Amino acid sequence: MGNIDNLLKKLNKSDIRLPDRLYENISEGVRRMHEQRNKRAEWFYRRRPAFKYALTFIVLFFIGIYIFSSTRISMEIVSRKGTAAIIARKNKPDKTEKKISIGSYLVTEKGSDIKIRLGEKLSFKLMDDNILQITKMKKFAGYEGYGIHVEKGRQTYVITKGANLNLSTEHIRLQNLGTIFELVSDERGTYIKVLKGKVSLRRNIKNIPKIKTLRFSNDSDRDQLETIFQKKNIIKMGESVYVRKDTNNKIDRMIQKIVQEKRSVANRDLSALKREFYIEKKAGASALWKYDTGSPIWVSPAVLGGEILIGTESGNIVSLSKKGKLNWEIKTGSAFFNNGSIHEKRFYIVDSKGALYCVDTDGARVIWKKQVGEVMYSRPLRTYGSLFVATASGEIKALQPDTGKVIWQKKLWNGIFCEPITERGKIYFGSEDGTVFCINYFNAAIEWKKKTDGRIAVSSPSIYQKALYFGNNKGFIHALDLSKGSLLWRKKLSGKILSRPLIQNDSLFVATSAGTVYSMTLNGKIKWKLDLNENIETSFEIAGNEIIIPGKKGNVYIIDKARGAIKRIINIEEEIISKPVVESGFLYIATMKGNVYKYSIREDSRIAGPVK
Amino acid sequence: MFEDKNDAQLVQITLTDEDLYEQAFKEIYNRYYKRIFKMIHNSVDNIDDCMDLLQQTFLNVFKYLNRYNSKYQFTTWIYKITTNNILNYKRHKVRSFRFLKELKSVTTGTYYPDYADMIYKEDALNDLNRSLRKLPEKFGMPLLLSAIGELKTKEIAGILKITQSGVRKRIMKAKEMLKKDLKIPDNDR
Repeated sequence: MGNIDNLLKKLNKSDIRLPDRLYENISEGVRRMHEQRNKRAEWFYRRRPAFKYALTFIVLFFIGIYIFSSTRISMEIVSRKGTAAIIARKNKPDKTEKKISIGSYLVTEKGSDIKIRLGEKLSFKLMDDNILQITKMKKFAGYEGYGIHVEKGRQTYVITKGANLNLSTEHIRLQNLGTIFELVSDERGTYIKVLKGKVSLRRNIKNIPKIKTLRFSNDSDRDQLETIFQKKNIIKMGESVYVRKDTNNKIDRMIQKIVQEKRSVANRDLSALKREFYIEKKAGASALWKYDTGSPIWVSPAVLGGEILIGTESGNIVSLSKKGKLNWEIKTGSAFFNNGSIHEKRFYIVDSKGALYCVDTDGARVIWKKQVGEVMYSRPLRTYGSLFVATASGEIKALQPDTGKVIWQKKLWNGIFCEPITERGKIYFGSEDGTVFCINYFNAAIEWKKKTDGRIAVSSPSIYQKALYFGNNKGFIHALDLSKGSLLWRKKLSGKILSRPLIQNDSLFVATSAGTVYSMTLNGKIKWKLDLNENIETSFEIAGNEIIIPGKKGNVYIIDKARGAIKRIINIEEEIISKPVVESGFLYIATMKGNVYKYSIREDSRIAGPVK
Repeated sequence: MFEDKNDAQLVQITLTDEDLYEQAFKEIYNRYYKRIFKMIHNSVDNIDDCMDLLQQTFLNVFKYLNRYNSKYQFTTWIYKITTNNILNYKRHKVRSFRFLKELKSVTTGTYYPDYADMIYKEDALNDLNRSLRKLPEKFGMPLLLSAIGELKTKEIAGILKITQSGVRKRIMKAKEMLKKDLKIPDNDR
């Protein structure tokens, strides 16, 4: 061993010879390394401020992340009775964050704050069981407002700030800011229950300025309709359904679809379904225009080519243009209670004191004026080249229309209040004591007269084929033989008959003061009847397939002639005495508040409202 | 110039002084290159690789000089780098170094032919050198560190990451193996 140690010592102490270029290589390497190091140091030194800022930013960023993550409450979706449930864990950040699916349950303690990452960050406050209030959220790309979105299939919902959500229900609906709502889901579908504020569609808010309410009489049908309406972007809230304006014209098509679906379940037709809803509007909202004359109007407007002539209680004869602007006005000083008639640019109207005016429709001047009786309540009738008037004292007169000269006159002693009608040279009218007269117009001879029990007040007679139909105050509807005046049949209806019965297509329509509308055959059999819950004291009109009946309270009912179903109610909320007038698809109504309304009753407008 | 400075001061000058760093590093080289070369030469066969390893060791020393902690012995640190380089070479057979390749003009053939068998003047030392190369690194490295590096057992244990008794045992074993290889008779008997 000693030798080994000695050898090793010798090895340690022995001098060795190494080439000089060894260190040259090393020093070359060292110099290069030093230069590189200096270059690098210089580069970093020059960029020192930038690095400082970057470092500060990074530090602050991580501090921010730390602060945020320390207050974050994460969500976890777990399985709970077959449905996904979200459990909020306070102050326990969980890395396994998942998307909240629709239909998931949110289970938290009441009053706790919850933050959900759902594409975007937002925080909730739990108000009540299953009701959340959104307190904070970030701007969501792609939408105008702030919100998160939940997607289910094609549908996208946006939840906005201030909204309350019920995550236990199926759908999360669109919501305005500051509105609190609750989604209620049952077998009928999902509804929004508004707790505070208003609900409207989040998307295309600008496109739904007018909202209509559909009401349904039948619960089961309504429910089926609603479910289909919901699919078609029609919102249902409580008892009402809101229809977006652009979908209005498609409702009929939708209903047809519904009918096709319903036919498989119950064999019902379109007409039966249509009867079951109507559209309610705000008072006067759907009018094309409205003109205020300033005094009550008892007279139904006389319309010719869209232009209107009307007499008011204050004694003015007013002419209105097609667009509801005043053409001209004549002040007479006496009240007008009777309807006027237009013939060949002449307007004939009788005032309450019995003076007959002939007015030029163009020139705003009275052509002639003649006192024809003491008091008059009937309308002057321009027929057969002359003018026929009947007074309340029982006089009938035929006048020359150009000058007002009397051609013939006759005293009957029976007060005449109704509007007479003419047919084949004969004039028919009822009198106060119930007698019906048929008078030959050319020789003023009484053809026949028929005494009936009951006063015939305002109800004018109607002629159809070979019969005369009229109603009286006792509620009887009569049918008389036109040639002889003999009674064909009569039938008692509920209430007084103050309106003129109308006949069209072998159907007789009668409205009584009790508010019932009857459709009868010409033999007196009732086809259908409809209760309107409103007194009917004025005559009504038939326009196309619809009957237009004004009620006393101010609702104008548009009724399907064939089925007796209400199609539409025009709500005016003003007392209507005068008869409505229909001309070329437009309805003209004058009210006791002095307003004249024009409505459209076209086929396509009966649901959609005014056509503009 | 730097004779009166100790190792830590030399390192300080090398790191900080822009003008004198080369001279200070040359002083470090002069102090250690013989012993480091002996350690390398007694573990690695090829003389070219020995030269490369020596250069690489000193370049590494310069590269990582800022990592040297002056609390500890510089010798320990420089021998640790040497040991690591040798072991790295032996384990992975890294025969050429990218950095050195750039410096060399000739990369093939024997670069230092004159020095192949002329390192030691005495034949006995050449025999010892041959026997040392045959030793497994497990036993050779502690022996070299203690004999040539003149390190204490504790320092060797720190470098090789083994216990002090293990160092002692391995040195004993290495000496026995050398004795057997060199056929040196036991004096005690």
